[in-house]
Amino acid sequence: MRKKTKLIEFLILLVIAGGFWVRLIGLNISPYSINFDEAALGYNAYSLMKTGKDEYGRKLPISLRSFNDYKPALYSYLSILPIKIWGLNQFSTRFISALVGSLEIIIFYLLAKLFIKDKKIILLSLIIFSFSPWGIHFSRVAFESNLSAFFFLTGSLLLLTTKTPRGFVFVVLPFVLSLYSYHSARLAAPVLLLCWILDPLGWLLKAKRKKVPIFQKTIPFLLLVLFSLPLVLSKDKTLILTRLRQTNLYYRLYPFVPRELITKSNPWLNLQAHPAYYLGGILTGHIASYFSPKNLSLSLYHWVRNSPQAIPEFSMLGWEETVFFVIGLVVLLKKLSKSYKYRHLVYWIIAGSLPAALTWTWFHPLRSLNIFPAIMIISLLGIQKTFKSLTKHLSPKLTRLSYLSIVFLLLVSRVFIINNELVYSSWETHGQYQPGGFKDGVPILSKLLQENYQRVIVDTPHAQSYIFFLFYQAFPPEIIQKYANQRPKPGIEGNLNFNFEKYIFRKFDWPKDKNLRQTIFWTSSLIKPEEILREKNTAIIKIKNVIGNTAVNIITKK
Amino acid sequence: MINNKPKKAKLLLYHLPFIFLQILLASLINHPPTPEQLTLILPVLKLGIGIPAIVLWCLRLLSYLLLLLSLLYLYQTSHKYFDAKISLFSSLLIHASPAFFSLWFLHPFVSFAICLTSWLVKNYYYRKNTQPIQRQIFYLGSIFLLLFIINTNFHIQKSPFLDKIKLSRSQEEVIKRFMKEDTLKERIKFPIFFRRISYNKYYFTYKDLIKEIIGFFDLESIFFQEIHPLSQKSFVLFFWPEFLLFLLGLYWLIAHGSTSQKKYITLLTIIAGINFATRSGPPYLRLSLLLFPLGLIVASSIKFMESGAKKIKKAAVGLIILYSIITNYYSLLQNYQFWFDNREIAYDFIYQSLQEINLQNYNKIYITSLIGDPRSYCLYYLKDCPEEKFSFHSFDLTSKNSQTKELYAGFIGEFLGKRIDNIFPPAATEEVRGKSLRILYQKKLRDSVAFQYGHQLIIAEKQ
Repeated sequence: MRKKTKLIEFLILLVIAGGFWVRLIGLNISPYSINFDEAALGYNAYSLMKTGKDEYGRKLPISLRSFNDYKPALYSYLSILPIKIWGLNQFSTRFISALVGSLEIIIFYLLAKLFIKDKKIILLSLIIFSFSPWGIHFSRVAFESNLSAFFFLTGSLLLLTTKTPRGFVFVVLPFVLSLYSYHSARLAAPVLLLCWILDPLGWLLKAKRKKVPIFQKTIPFLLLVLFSLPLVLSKDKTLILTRLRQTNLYYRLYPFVPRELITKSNPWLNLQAHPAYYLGGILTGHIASYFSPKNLSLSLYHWVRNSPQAIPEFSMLGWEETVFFVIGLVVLLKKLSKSYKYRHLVYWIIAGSLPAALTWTWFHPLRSLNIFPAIMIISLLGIQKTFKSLTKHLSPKLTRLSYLSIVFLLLVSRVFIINNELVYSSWETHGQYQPGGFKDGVPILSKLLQENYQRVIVDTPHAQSYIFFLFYQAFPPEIIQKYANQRPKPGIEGNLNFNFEKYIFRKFDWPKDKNLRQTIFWTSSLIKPEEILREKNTAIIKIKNVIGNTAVNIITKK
Repeated sequence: MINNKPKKAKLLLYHLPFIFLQILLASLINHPPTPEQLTLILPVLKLGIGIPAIVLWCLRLLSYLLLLLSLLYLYQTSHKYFDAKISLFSSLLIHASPAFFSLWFLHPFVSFAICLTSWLVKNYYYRKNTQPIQRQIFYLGSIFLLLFIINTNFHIQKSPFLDKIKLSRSQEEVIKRFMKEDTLKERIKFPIFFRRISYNKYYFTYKDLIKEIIGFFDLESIFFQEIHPLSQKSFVLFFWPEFLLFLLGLYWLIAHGSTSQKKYITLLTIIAGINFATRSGPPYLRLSLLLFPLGLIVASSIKFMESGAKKIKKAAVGLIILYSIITNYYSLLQNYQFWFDNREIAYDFIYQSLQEINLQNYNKIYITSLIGDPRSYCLYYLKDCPEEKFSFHSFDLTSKNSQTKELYAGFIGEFLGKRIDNIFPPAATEEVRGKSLRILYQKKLRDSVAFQYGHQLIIAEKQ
């Protein structure tokens, strides 16, 4: 018996190690190239490391202006150390995300132990968690939301395990860090703490509740408010709110009713199809979408499909855990009135999904990344229930056979997920959001610039492509900071490229441009090589993307 | 087990307002016949019995009767396990559902399948206690098999689930994946045996099948179809406020429901799952049998209202559901092209227009076949459609010149050539006129039913 326990503990360690390996291996080549936001986080970390200021020259900011989207700065601060060690590259930029994604496995293990006592099932749940599509994907890309989700998970675990009033003070720390890591947590964390204080489901279901004095329970909430004051008082606040206004559903979907049904100039007087009815449906539907197995496992909405958060073949969860999630939901409902920890899972999902649900792109994995450990726990409840039912209803032989079949399928699926995420996804997601050409082209360009070229004319369809030139060359930040006043002002959407040093961002027009001397052209437009090579002292270097298609042409004109 | 006898007269009394409301709604919408209805109507019309519109309505009413019968069977069966209020409430909720309306209004075969299934289920439960277990299993197996046979034989399209059970298809997918991965310029290299563990035809078949199974748990299509922009053509099964009742009902059933109630709901859900797996078509058709178990779960929420000010709670719930019905039915009327299949609307427009033209003046009439079978519709609307006069094939006026005494009815892309982006600006109709054609009628459809051929339907002749 002891031997068996030891073996399971060894296997648990092995799985955790496997989880670390799969998150950290080959970060510099898979995903093949970095996306805009990763480049911005990495370059700002580099800028902070070199000068103590971001790319706009703002000293020790709590939000990075970046693409005028005011990214929370914690990720970049944490990335300073890996960049110091390994230099500014894809690996060092993604390292923090991969590291916290790996540590998440250990926190999840501690959380799972609160719900499940059987070590074999905990082992199985760790296999699922460590090699889940979302777990691997979001850890291998530099996402601030992954950092935030790690802190949120830690805070949630502390909420469930802390018993003493003094402990309540420490509960708040991870939540504070989570709201300095990503915007979503700024709504999710206080909502979760409020649910923890009030326990509305416990009241509705007339469940037994522990009698903790309410003022003790409000301590973390009050501390959270206190620690978030720098954000509230920040000068960037109104600009962050501008971003919120762009994405929130009220502005985007108003008047909520399909236009064909509006008969009066004031839609609120439209009694047969009232905006309140549709708004209620939109909000309920948005939150319900995070409990929908089809969404969690299969649906790839268009705003997800064309973004770095898209995982080929999956939405977020693997297929088996989605089936167990359905069973787990039944178990969860049954146990809701029995213990707070089960209600906590519901609060966790509602609070975590709320920031995404309030936007028009309602099912948004990145904005709701906090919730997925809770969803995995529900799947885990489903696995436990399934195994119990099998033991109860089948003969020992058949039970063992069913166990083995489930475990076999789970393991084969994990192999698929690893292949899919580490290899195949490069093929699928190399497009617009991880544009090809920069990773291989910029170092070549950098070498060419050591010769006597006066200017580089850059023609790309991307609105923020300047960041790749800064990132892949580790461009001196003190030079870029001097251009801060010439750059597009906050609140402006669209093209954010700006001319700096030898770089000029504009359309490539060969009939006119052919007269320029000592110039390098960087263009992703279609060109006619024979026409270009007709000019003297001209050469073309073709830069291929990861699947072997030409992504960029570098034309040199001496 | 609750065993007081269900009262049919009382049931009918409660359902009468819904019957009146749905027939009124149907007559106001008066959608053209669906291909499924045409296959039943045309043989009758060929015999020279009746006027097409009357035959269509007779068929619709027959479908309605079948679905009402299925409601009665459900009521009678659920009455054995749930109390009378829940059974009655669930039957009313199902009756008010837009999916229920569309089933009898558009899908006679599905209505028949539902009626037959619910009758078999009723018989199963009525005889269950007097039969040995082997016979019970045999009977249940027969229900599943029958449903499978009906669903797989009365549909032109194969069910996506059954379509996925093809190892050759999976094999192709595996090869494509290997090829894609191998063309990557730089990649993490795993040993071939590791890749082969999951990159094989058996696992890929399993992967596709399990994805189909997960598709069954689709909250959006069931409750939020009228709210979310899902880009799919479907009717909502239950109104969104009923989702909240669903949660309460589900909680009550799981926490306080009896084992027999849970078993009954589980069996109905399994049958709905088999229907989903074996049927093709839009989500509401594949999920249609979920109406019964979900109706019961939603109705179980009234147990939650049996404390405190229960009259106020019940009145509030009743009013909200009533409001949902009004809003949804209003939407069905006003936003007609959003809810209903635009292909049928297209053929209705074409043939209604042709009825206004003297067809004797034309030697040849070309009707588009891009969106279905134009011949069946021709027989329904015009009765006489000789092959020498009518051409039921898509035409292309970019490769062939239009002739005098010829009439062309089709999409704008058939006149100007198809376009990959499906964009035909408003000025494109001028281009049609520029081809020496006189546009007699035109209509813009909401949906892209003939992708690359535009949204505009045109009936034109040579000038």
